[in-house]
Amino acid sequence: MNIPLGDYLKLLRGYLRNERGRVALLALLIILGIFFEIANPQLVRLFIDEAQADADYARLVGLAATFVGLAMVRQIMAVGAAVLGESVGWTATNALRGDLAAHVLGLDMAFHNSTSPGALNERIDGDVTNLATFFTQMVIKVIGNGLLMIGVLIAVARVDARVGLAIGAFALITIAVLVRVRTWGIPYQVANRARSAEFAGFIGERLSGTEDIRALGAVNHTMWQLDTLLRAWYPHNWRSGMVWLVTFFVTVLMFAVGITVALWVGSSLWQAGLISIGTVYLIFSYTEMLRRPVNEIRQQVEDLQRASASITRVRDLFALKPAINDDQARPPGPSVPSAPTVAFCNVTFAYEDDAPVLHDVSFELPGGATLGLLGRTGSGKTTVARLLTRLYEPKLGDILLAGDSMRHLPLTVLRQRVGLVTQDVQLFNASVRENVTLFDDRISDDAIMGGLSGLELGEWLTRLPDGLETRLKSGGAGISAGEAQLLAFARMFLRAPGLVILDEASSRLDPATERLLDVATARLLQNRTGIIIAHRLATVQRCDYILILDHGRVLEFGRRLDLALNPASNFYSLLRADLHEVLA
Amino acid sequence: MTATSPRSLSTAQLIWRLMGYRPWLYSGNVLAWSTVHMVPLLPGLLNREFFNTLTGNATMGLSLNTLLLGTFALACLTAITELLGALVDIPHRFVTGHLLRRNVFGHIFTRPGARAIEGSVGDVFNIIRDDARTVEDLLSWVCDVSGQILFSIVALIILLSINARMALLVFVPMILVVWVAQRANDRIYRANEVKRNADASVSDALNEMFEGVLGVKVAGGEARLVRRLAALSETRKRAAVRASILNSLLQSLFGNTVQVGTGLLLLVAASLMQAGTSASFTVGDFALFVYYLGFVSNLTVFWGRLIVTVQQSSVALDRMDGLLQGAPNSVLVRYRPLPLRHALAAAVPDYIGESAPLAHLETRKLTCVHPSTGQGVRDINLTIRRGEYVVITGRIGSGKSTLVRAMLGLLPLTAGEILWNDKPVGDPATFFVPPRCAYTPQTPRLFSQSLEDNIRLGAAVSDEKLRSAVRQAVLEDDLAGMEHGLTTRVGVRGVKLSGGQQQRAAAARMFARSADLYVFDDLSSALDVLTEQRLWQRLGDLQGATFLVVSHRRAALQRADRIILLKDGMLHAEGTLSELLAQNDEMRAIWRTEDGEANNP
Repeated sequence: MNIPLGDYLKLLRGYLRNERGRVALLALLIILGIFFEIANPQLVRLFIDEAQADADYARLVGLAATFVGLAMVRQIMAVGAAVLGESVGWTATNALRGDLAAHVLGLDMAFHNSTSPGALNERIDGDVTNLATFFTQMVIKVIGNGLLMIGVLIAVARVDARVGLAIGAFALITIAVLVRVRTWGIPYQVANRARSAEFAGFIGERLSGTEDIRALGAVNHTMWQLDTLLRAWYPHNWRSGMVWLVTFFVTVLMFAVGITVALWVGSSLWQAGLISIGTVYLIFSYTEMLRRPVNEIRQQVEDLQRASASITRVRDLFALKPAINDDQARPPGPSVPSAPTVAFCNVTFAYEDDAPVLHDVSFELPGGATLGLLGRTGSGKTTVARLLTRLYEPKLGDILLAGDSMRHLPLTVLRQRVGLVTQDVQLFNASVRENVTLFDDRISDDAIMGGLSGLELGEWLTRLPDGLETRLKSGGAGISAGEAQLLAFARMFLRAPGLVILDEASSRLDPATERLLDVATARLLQNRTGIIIAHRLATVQRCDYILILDHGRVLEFGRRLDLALNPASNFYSLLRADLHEVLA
Repeated sequence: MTATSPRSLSTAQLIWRLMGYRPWLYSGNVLAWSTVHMVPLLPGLLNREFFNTLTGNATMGLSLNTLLLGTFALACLTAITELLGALVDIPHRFVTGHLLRRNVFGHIFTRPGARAIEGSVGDVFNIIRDDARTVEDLLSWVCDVSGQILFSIVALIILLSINARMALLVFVPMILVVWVAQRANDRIYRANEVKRNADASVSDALNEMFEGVLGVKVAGGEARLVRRLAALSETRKRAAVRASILNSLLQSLFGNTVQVGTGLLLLVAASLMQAGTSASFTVGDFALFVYYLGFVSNLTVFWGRLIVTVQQSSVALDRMDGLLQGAPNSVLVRYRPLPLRHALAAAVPDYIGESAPLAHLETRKLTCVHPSTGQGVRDINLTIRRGEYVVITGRIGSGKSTLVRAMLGLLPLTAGEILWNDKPVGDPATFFVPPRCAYTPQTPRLFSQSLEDNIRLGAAVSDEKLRSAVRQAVLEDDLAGMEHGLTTRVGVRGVKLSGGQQQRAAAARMFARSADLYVFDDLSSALDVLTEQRLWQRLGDLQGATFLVVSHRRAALQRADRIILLKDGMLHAEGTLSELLAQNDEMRAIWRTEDGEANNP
């Protein structure tokens, strides 16, 4: 028997511990509420028996009034419990959501490349929200109802032990059957959720590709793909619904047996003269009272199944460990130079196991020097940048920063010291300030303005309606690709890393803008080590060293001036080819 | 609710159209659930008879055992009707929910492609996924509530016939509660709207976080983004708790009516049930009243939830309406077949209408400005003749991409017209598609499927054509290096390929389609010199094709038959490279940096 409550508590234990006081209050409210609920039918029994026995009218009215009063108190407590439960549930799962997001962000790029943001959203928001629902619904309804059932059984047993036993057996069997059905149903629910996630991934990806799809006349094809997905999903949705149905059917059927037995036992005892008519009504109303908890538990079974599928997925996600971690990190020494030397020592790397992208790459760049990295597309230039930021790790060999293996630096420190500007700039649905500082509110306005004006973005900023507070859209609407690129430069300026890598950073800029950027780039590279990955020779003209990669191997490495003057060098031929191109 | 256009349908009308989408299925749903809710009338009557038999007031003359057996049989009947109800409800929800989703999604693809959605992808994604579900809920609740109403009517008639005064006591508080609940509508509506918006911001923040995961990691911004998520989550929590207070107050109000009703029943029954008058109100009658009261109170509970769901659906439909960008909201509920059980016919190519092959393409006073920033291009007159190779160039922000996007209908025109062989183009977006025109955007998007599927994108392309497209895009060497060749899965948004490979895969996608006019926006931005040269050289293989290229690269500018130079969104100059270099400072400024020191190593 696999009740996910244990798993759930294990997952949320730490988060709920901080909420101990409120959880205790919640429990108190629920238990008191149940107590009142059980007391009510006793009042009715008393009422009927006394009415049948010709009791005093005022006494009957008193009983009725007490009944109403208790009912109202109970409702107030129910509201309190619902609100408290909601609040506690969200507090706990918000913390869980944050931790899960942080954990997933820390996973390797290999993971992110194979998992769509939509699917991750489904996990971190969808699944965790299921857990919040699980908390509010489960704790209040399932546990509360469970306690209510137990209370009812005790109350009935006090009237007659045999009736108590009969109803107790009925309740236990019903629950046992439900648990079996639940366990049986999980795989179907999981399959259904997988289809739902696939559908979500499709929608998210195609929504970002509307321009491509429209311009290539692939709208009908896209809708056809949508239909194909729906068609594949439909039977799973159906089967998952059937699981719910069977659960449903079984409970109602069980209940039919229960209520009949209760009435039969009650009438037999009355006919034998053992109990009053009020007590027969009490047994009847207690059995009826079980209908709501059993029904609600039954309704919750689906949420329960969904939640247990969610718990499984959340735990699976937590179980993934990044291969790139701080296991070999040492406390960073204070003496690291602001412009470190960079050395690749026999680095071999492959994204997949058997197709190396870099073969035995070695070079050493002195601190403060600038390296121009050239090579055809797919030659491994971008990979060099990714290895230097430790987004990936060499399969063989090592990379040294200021003479020490990168693995010895904690990742947070490494990424403060190494800055990378990529071609794709992610903009956030947030203010310009937050976009530039990447949500670091410790950076002063002066520093931001300084960074932006240093990049000739000062004038652009004055054109914005709300200055630094102007909101940008995540898709980059209202800002050109070039401006976005400049913004990425500004981000880098503010972080002031010791090693700066520009990966095709200027390729989106037109030459006029690029020239503006040249000044800024020169200033950025001053007193820093720099690596510029470029496709154009013009871009590497300010570099001290040149590295040419070909199919993942070092074709040539040396001082730019040496290579440019050596007719036997590849760099020389490249320069010639380019010149020829210009003159053609 | 906001009326977006005079033709727009009200929420009720939209829901009505949805109910009529699968009329038989939905009628079956209503019928089944009405039965489900009506069946409990019978056990109530049997229970009454049971207690009356015990106290000697029997009216039906049935034995106790018959009554017990009857109770059991009725319970089984309840189970069976619920089963039938669910059998109709499950497929109905799927079908109507996905009709809505498909309509919204489909409509997005009728909008200008570069501005197909307003707001973030995450927002739109949420609307498509969750808001449709809210509407599904509403359709199911309507079935339940109609069953409950029928139950209440019949129950009222039965109770009135037993004791009219008591029956009114049971029902009058219910009416009051429903009235109060309706008064609470507005606040619940607003609370739910706030909650949904908070949901969207959280979801949005997560999407951004993972779409830009590389940048976030490189910048060491993980902790800060998680803090931002936490702040948004906290806002959502407050919204959820607020909505929950309102909802549970309402629920409690409903719950109380049963209790208060039972209390009132007891108060009035106090006189009636005393032994002397027991025949006028028996224990059985009391049992029946309490039993029905419980069910009728369900009506108020269901009604309350229905109100909440109606409000939520209204918000949901408004949000979907917002995605239509002004189109009548009847688009949301347009009926179309949803082939779920039968085999799917192959997709037909997008319909593009008839036209003669390109002789010349002309824009007249073409103007396209962004509605909020006011940036864009104005009064552009240009002509492109068959077989020409035209380059559009200019500084950053000069409007190059905007111009080509507007010409191709990927951005809405503000003014002006486009003429194909002197005939005005009605809807450029549906006109400029293969085989008339093929396009590669500045930031092409690949999808997480195989490289081949990405290139084909549903087009019927022969293997030979596919090979030549790959060659045309200078992708053949890369392909040879891939273990799985064309069947390589490119990963989410193509991330398993390098930047240059992605661009060339997108170019191959374009070349796989025969077209009169090929449009490249900054195609070579991620390509090295040699690859770029090969790419431009191989264009010569495409006999008779016309090229419109956005670029500032020398290799492209030199090949141009004509260059169109933009400055600040206006057509600044036009001519051959040598003409422009001789006469135009702006052109020289752009050319100079590309020129650079590379000439004189």
